[in-house]
Amino acid sequence: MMKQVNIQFPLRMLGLLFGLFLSVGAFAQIDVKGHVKDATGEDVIGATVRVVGTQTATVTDFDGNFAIKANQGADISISFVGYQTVTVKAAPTLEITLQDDSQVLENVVVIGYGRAKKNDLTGSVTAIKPDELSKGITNNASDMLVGKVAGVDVITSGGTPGAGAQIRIRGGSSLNASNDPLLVIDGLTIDNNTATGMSNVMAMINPNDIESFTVLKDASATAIYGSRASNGVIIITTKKGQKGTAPKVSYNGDVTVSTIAKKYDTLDGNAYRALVGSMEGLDVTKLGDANTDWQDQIFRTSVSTSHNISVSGGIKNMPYRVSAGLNSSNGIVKTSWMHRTNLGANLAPSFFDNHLNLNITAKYMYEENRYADAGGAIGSALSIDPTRPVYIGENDPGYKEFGGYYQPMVSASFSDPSWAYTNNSNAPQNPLALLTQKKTLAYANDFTGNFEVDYKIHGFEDLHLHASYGGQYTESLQKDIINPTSYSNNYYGWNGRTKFYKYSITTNAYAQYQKELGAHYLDIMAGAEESHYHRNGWNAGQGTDPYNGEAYNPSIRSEQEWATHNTLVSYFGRFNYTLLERYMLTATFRADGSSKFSEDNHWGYFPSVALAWKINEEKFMKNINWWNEFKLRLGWGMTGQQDIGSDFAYAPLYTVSNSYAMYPFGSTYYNTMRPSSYNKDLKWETTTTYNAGIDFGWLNNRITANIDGYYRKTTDLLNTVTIPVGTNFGSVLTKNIGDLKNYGVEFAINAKPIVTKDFMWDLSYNISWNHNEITSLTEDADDDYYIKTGTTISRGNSTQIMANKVGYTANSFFVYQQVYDENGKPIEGLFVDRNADGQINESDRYLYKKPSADVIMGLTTKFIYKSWDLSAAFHASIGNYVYYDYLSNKGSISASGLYSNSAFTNTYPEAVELGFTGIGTEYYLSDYYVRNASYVKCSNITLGYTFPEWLQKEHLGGRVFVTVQNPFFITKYKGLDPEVSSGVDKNPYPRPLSVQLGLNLNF
Amino acid sequence: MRHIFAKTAIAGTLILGVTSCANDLNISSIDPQTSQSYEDMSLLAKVYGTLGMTGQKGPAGSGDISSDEGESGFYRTTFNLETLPTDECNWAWQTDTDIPQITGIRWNANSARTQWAYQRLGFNVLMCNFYLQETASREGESNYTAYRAEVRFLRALYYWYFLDLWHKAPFKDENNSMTDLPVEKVGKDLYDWIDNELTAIESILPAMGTYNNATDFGRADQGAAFMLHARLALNAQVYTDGVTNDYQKAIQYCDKLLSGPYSLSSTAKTNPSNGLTYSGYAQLFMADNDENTDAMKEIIFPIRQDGLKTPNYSTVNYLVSSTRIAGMPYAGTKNCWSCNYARPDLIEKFFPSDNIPMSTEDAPNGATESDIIALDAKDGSDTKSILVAAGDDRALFYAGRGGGIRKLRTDKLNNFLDGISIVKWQNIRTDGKTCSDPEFPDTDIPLLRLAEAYLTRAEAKWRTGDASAINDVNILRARANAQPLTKLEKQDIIDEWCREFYMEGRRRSDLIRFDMFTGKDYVWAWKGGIAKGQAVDSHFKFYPIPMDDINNNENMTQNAGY
Repeated sequence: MMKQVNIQFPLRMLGLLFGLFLSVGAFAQIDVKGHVKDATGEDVIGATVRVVGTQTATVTDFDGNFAIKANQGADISISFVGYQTVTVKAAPTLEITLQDDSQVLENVVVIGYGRAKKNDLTGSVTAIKPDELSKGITNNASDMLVGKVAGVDVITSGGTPGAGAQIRIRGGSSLNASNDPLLVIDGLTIDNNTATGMSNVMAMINPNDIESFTVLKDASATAIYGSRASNGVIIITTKKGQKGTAPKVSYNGDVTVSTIAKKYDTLDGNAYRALVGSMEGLDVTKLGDANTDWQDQIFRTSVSTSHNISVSGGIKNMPYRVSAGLNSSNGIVKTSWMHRTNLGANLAPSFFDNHLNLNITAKYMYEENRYADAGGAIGSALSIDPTRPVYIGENDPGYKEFGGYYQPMVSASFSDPSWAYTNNSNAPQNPLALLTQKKTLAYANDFTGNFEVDYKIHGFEDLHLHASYGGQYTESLQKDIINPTSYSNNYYGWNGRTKFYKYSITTNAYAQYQKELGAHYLDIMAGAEESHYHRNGWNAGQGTDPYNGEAYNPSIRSEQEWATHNTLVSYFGRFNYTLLERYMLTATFRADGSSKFSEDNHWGYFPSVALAWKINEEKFMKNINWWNEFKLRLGWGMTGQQDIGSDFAYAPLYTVSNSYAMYPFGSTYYNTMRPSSYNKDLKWETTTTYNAGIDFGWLNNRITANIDGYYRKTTDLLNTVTIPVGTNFGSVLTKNIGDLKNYGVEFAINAKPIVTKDFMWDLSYNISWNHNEITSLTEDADDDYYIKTGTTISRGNSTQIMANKVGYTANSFFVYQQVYDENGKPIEGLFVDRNADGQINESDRYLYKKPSADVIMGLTTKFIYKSWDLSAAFHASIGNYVYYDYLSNKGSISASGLYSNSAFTNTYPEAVELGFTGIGTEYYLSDYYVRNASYVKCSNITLGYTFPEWLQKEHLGGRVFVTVQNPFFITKYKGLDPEVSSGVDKNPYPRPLSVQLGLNLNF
Repeated sequence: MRHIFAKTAIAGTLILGVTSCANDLNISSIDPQTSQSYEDMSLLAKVYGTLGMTGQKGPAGSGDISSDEGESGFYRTTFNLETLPTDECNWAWQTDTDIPQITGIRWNANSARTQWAYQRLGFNVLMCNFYLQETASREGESNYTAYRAEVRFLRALYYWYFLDLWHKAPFKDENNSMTDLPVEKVGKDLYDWIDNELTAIESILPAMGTYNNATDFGRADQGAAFMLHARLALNAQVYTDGVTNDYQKAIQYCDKLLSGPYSLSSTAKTNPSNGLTYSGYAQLFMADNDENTDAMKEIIFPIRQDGLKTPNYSTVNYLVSSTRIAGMPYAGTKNCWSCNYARPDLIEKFFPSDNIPMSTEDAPNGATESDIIALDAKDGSDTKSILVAAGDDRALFYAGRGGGIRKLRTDKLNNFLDGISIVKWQNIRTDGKTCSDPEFPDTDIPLLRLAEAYLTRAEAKWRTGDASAINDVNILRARANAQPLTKLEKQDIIDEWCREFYMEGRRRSDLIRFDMFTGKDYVWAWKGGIAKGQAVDSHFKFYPIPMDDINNNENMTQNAGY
């Protein structure tokens, strides 16, 4: 078979070349004049008219007319976005009517439990198709959303191979509950708990298989998902085959070279020796004489590849598509990599004259990861003494115990008397040894499948019944093997296993009745759903005394096993009514029962109503030809949040201790049992959303735009608060207290400023502004009441630098106001006495800025010239602040700050210049470290070349491209990267600068 | 038409069929680490365990209190409030949360460390109340009479800490439900409650010394209640704002203890593996103090610790690790935090003219532990030499070269080497065997020990004008091989409390009884946050009620001055 193709192909190519030569001047040319309109009789402006098989092309003018020269009998194709392409024989006059392409995403979008024509939508819904030309490097579905949708803030989580992203739709609606949107893939809601060993929650979808994203933003769109919809819904649909088409094979392959864009600035060996030499109380002779750049030891330039192949088509009434993807990513931190295989299949047969439609989707993923402790390695590389070599050798006394790596040490007393030294626990560790001596390997399998049946009742076609049964099964195993010569597990080593297992099953069924009665159109849907989610796992492992073979501190599987589950039972319905094709009403209702709350609080009810008015369908606008869409939308609805972290937070339970938290009476040790804190009154968090929006379309939709304004209020906010001492088994409790509001405006525009026969410019831009504010926190606390929150910083004792307070944005920084000297330099530990009580203490701290952005923007620009395309995508964030932990961690340029516990610690030029010595103050709580991290980033620039049409005619389509990912960004922020989702910049795995070469083939 | 309806009906049934009923919502936890009921001994072990453990996973990972788990333990939180502000020690890392405020007596109502202690004690009280509620029906069953009385003792102990630190408590007992807000019990009210409660349980608890053996070491018997009662009575004037005078009661309880089955640890032993000789006093704070019967005889009530089975960052590990720096010989742990070092005033209790022998020269690069031990011996700055120079077995300090050379006093507060190292708490066994873990010590905390009865009786007698007071002090000095005192005045007693009990978590309480904690009568290095020390306002005698509790519990009122 292969052989045949190999011989045939060149022969056909040869024939083609001859054909081209022969065809020159062989036929007489005629002038073709024509007019293009759409099904409603509107002129189509800017449609491309092309003589098939030639470079001759033109576009229609403002009245839909065109003129072109063509050979008699030649095929002329007329195409325009949103319409089916028409091919006709050349004739002196042509009248062409383009039909709406109902398959085209712009017109039909997937919504919760059904589909809707985009024109008929009443809510705030954005549908996007992955842009094949400017998608950038996408190892992950979430990468495709960066900067693409107004109001959707996607912060990729750094350079870890395969890592996911934090997605926030219209700001967060919760404080302590999850702020992640609900993810629905091919009709199946996905459990957002990422399995150990799986790089991210969307890893089971091959990005190449994605047909569309639909982002549901306002409550009238999301309320049909009820208790899980407060943070928006992202619906992902994968590609399908088409009925009765020949098999199409598509291949995408690429190779990516990644490197670190910028290194952290630390003192080199010489500078460090000079600093130590200048410091009273330090002995420079204790330093080494090397000049080691420890960052060079841990970072590398890496090469990654991916291959994807799909076959799609339709055997009569059975469209099919199968795909396979192989992704091999190597991280820029040494030793880290990820290998992933994705298999996907879709079958969508229809029977009985399209009355019975089945849709079967199956996805399988296998992933292998080697995780590197990148944060630890970077932290160590920034701290370890730069005057020491990386490797000393096993023959030097003391270094045998560390496999020859340089490492500060202390004397040891193990059962093996020859193991004389061990790690100095308070000295930095050798970062390269950390990467090489700790091996964390993970293997994950995921199977996700959904089976859908849709039956249009014979003889009563207005009613159809839909049922689906879907599930996800994930299991993973992680192995942690740590060398006995490591820093972390010196002498004993470690050999551990972590097992994770989860499954979820969702079944739903609904009936839908659609009927047009004169000027009235009705669409009524009602259904029910049940989902069950289960997770369990265990870990086990031990160190081993190499001298006597005894286990050391084993982690015992029976003590580390865990399991949890929850169930959601729902009933839902939707009522759509359209009058005169221009007045629309949508009402939805969902009742959700959740096992996460006690029996009294199981049920929550989530209604919504929305109205839309297609103003352009009114008589006074009907004859404005260039204005295609003008729709006003108004919506109101309620959604909930039940993702509170624990499945049984309402129930009194006892937790048994492990073998390392026992208590003895005499020589008998007992496991202890602790009653857990619980809140039987826990219930739903409820978010009420008001939304108003206008959709525009001009010049045959060459320009489309929409603007939305919203107001969202969350009540019964799930909030973990300090409780009165002695009122529950713990110091804090999650309760439904507090309110939060978000309001904002979003604007998105897509335009094609230039459309000529050879050149097209497409521009998409979106901007959104969001304001988040806490309006109530607890019943009757005074005005100064606050709750500390957020990621801990490096200094202090698990110190949180953010707080929630009424009147402020959630997670605002909670800091002292720095006092500066006359040169504008901060004075260490000198803060403004804000309450003027003569002393500086906690009461002088204030809320200052926040990590979330005020304004986010996305811009994608794309030029297509003949076969060439050049595109660039940008995203920007304004008003987001970051705690500069990198610097605050090093505020101790003093003898004890640089040399403590018999070990030297490196520092930064910036810290030396600042000169803080760490004397008697919580200097790190200063607003000096809260930095404006607004940025404009170029996400990617792509240059592509699409195979010429004559080659496509020979059934070989394709494209080659080169993409540069993260080429540059503009910011005032001094750290490595201003894009920090947690708001605390603590040595994250850096986002690499990458160049990708790719090839697409279609045959 | 009929079959259309039939089909619809069938399909409708299908829809209802796949989505089963709402009963599926009534599911319960399937986690193997949790259960809906408790085992008897496991609950009792938890009530006791809150003395020495911070949560359900050692050393950390499932904390009782939602703050830094290592900082949340009973001993560490209360030790810090009773010790860090005083003349005994200083915390080198002044950038740590609330440390400048606590070490400099400059805290306010938002003090994090105050809140950690308050929350821990509140949690422990709640566990006691819960136990008493759960076992109410078992009163009278064999063992349960004792268990319940022991738990009441623990609760009285925690309320004593509330009384001592805050002069009040958020009070609840077993008659309250879990969600009831605690009420405020202040001063004499709380004093009387503890006094009555101890009296009530003293007749129920097993006799003195019942648990002073390998079978039950760690449980509270009459001896524990007597000792706490004596301590309470000695402080009656402070606790009741001068209303109650209970010195006689203190003397009576000490008499009972001193005629009981306990005895001071006073037999020196030589460790065969390092060749060092440890005094009877030193053995009280060593890794095998739960096996060494001499040490056990003095320990009335311990907090049990074991490096393998009870690892945590809040009890003995805190005392051993925080007082060590990497490079110090005989460190006893591989994790040296280099935090707590002696203030000069503590050293002066043993070396009034600052003549403690110290190394003045750094160890050469690459010096091994044995090199340092030899150099220290040559310098005369090792612990053995210091003990000799002090003429007192209790002067367990180190001023050698290990980890760097030390200063006696400093004008800059950010370095562990700014003071002499304290090596009283050790993770070394007297018998020379290896300890169970390279990081976490085995040493039990002698929370109540017999020496306190001697000093309590001495002070009570001195305060009531009984000249025999000096005898009790000299018994302790004799055990420490120190010269006997020839006179007993105020300063002698408060200094003796320091010499005998430094770094045992009670210094602030003793200083307050002598009205030396606040004010200008006694100023020590860094008191008030400056190197030479300064007077502080008297409202610092009691800690503030944490702001959160003032906000959350309408029954609680703030202490004066905050």
